[in-house]
Amino acid sequence: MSKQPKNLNLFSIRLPLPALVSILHRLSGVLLFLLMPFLTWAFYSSISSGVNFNKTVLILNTWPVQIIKLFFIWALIHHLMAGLRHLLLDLQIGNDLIVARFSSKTVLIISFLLTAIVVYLV
Amino acid sequence: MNIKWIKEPFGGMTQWVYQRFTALFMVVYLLVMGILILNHSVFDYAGWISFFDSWLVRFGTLIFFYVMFFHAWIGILHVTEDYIKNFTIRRAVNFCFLMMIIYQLLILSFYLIK
Repeated sequence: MSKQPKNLNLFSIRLPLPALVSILHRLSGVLLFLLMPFLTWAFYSSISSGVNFNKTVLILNTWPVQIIKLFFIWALIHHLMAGLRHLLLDLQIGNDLIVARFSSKTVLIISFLLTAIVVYLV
Repeated sequence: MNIKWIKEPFGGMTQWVYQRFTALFMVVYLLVMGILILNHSVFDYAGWISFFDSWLVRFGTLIFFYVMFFHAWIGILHVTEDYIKNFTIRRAVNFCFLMMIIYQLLILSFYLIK
């Protein structure tokens, strides 16, 4: 098995946009799952008492946590948008190459813009 | 430990259907919560507590977390199956992730039902 020749040079292939959206969908899903303990902690810590609520808000506003929050918000929005695109593809909507490229570009741009808006507002 | 249950709790087609319907439920939940939270001040403790005073918000959030972790569990099984070739290691990793899910669900249930 290991003697099989490998003709596929991954560095010579440009990743198509729909493939990029797809792998980012998977990546954001894993990221959301791995960051979920932070959300669980923030939830029960903030709801347990008034003192803990203020402590939680203080911790959530420190800069390392803000970077984690940034990734979490991006992952959530991208996973949501790419997921909706996949649901449409399941309904046979947007299967043509041109439409698929356009929708994947739209997903990338919208998730980036929405992340910027949410970060600016909150 | 039942190996089959950890590796493949149900068939591929069933997983596919569950993944889509849980996704739709979560989209609806996020939209409803987004609208509710915009009409409610949650930036201080009193507002935050009163938001979760509503029976519907509590119940919806509890169901959301169960549905979300179910969705995540199916996703995690697929991801580990793709990248971890060794069966024993994969089973151990899956088991750790399952424990993580159960632990978080216990905490969330405790605070949301109380």
